Amino acid sequence: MEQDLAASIQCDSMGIAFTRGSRRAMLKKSLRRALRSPRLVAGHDPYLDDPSTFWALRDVSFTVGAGTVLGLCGANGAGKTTLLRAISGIYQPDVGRLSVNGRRSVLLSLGAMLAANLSGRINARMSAALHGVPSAQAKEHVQHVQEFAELDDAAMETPVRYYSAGMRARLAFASASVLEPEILLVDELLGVGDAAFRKKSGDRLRELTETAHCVIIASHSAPFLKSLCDRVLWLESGELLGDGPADEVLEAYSRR
Amino acid sequence: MAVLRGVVATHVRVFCRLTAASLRAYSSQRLLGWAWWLLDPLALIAVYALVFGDWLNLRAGPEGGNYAFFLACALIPWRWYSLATRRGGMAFVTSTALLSSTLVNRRVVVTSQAAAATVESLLGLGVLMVMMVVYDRPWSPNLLTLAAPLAVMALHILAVSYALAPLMVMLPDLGNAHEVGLRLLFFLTPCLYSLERIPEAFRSWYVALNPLVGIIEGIRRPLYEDLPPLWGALGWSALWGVLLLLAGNWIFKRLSNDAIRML
Repeated sequence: MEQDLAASIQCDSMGIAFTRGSRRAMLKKSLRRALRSPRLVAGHDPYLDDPSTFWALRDVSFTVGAGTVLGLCGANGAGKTTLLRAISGIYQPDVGRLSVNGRRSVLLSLGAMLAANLSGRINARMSAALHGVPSAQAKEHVQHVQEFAELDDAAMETPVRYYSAGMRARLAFASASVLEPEILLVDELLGVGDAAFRKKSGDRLRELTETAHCVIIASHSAPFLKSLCDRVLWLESGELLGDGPADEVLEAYSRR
Repeated sequence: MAVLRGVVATHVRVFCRLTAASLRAYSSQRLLGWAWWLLDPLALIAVYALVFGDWLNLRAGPEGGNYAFFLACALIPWRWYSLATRRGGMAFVTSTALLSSTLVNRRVVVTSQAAAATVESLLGLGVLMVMMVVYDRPWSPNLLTLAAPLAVMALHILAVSYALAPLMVMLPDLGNAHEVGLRLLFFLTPCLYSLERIPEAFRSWYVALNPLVGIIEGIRRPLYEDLPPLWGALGWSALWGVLLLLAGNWIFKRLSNDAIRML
């Protein structure tokens, strides 16, 4: 499945650090780092050796090519969401290098980016704008979202705060996936919703990979990852413990 | 070039959508919706005119004049400034879900929040226009000079918003400090009184040290006195605006990555 031609994501010894402790400590450290010259920040940062530093990801290296369905497994706090946020561009690496080529679409939590007070239609339009859909195509995009999410006109005009969890999931998934992004990042979403929607979203992910797109899915569910992914990365306490074919890595993960 | 155009077009689209979404979210949660954008400034003018004009006998200037209109010329731009810096400054906090779940230009998020407050305040400018008709003020070419103080005000709003947005995440107490600062600045700026009330010996220091004096006077003079802005005072405000924007940008650039991790 994996094509070595156009690598979409390349990650070299990447590390992402957070500051542990009180808000005051975090502020103090951020201000001290900010006041240093950019040249020092770009080189070795002594504040990262500080005992209050917590590495959410450390020395993570991998390459993902087009046409890959990559799974991320690991316990809570392993660094899966942090890695997805880094790939999506929300977090910048503190050390190492991360290069991402391709239009990204992110589904990091169940409808998190949906504005609760606005209707499904306005949210779908907002999603179109966020994903770079030209205004002339926004109406068509909303139509596709509505069809994929199987929401009727009344539901699309209703504020999202009145939606059930399943409806939110459908709208969020449809908004992110109908665009045919080159890189789709999904975090623990697909376990939500009814069986029909779970099947539909799984089929859609397979469809996306067939057209040489790259999909990265983080999940706790080994069977779910096994059913969808060619390759799996196993993260534990921010470090990469395994990288290989889904069967092998998931078996090692289940034996841990 | 085409790539750059595409990026700019995307930012503009996101900016417009976020601004519109913010305005819709505001109006959809209130029974009177958008009417509050008109009622709010009207109520503000009425309360201040009653308390400071009627009860405390503050006057528009040495020759008197209509105090309600005098007040409106300063209160409406002041309301724009305070509303927009509050919203822009809180942009990271109020857009937590968006910023932590999708890749979006952070400056666009902050600017759209300040822009939504600006649109809300535009109705207030409409109130001023209506008052000009009611109080029979002349529609002279001096009104065209309003563009200059309004542009300088926009510069100040962006500068303060960019500086506050990441800092408000790291230090929520700054929200309280900002409120106190706004209250203090309000009374230190000639909103309720005229610039002539400041003793002449201190006036040039007052104008140079308070960046909002040139802006408020620059808006009031064409509307209330049919005079152009005090260009020297407005120049100080513009200089402050540029310095604040440089500082705001520096803070934004250096702290926004850390702030996003704290959301």
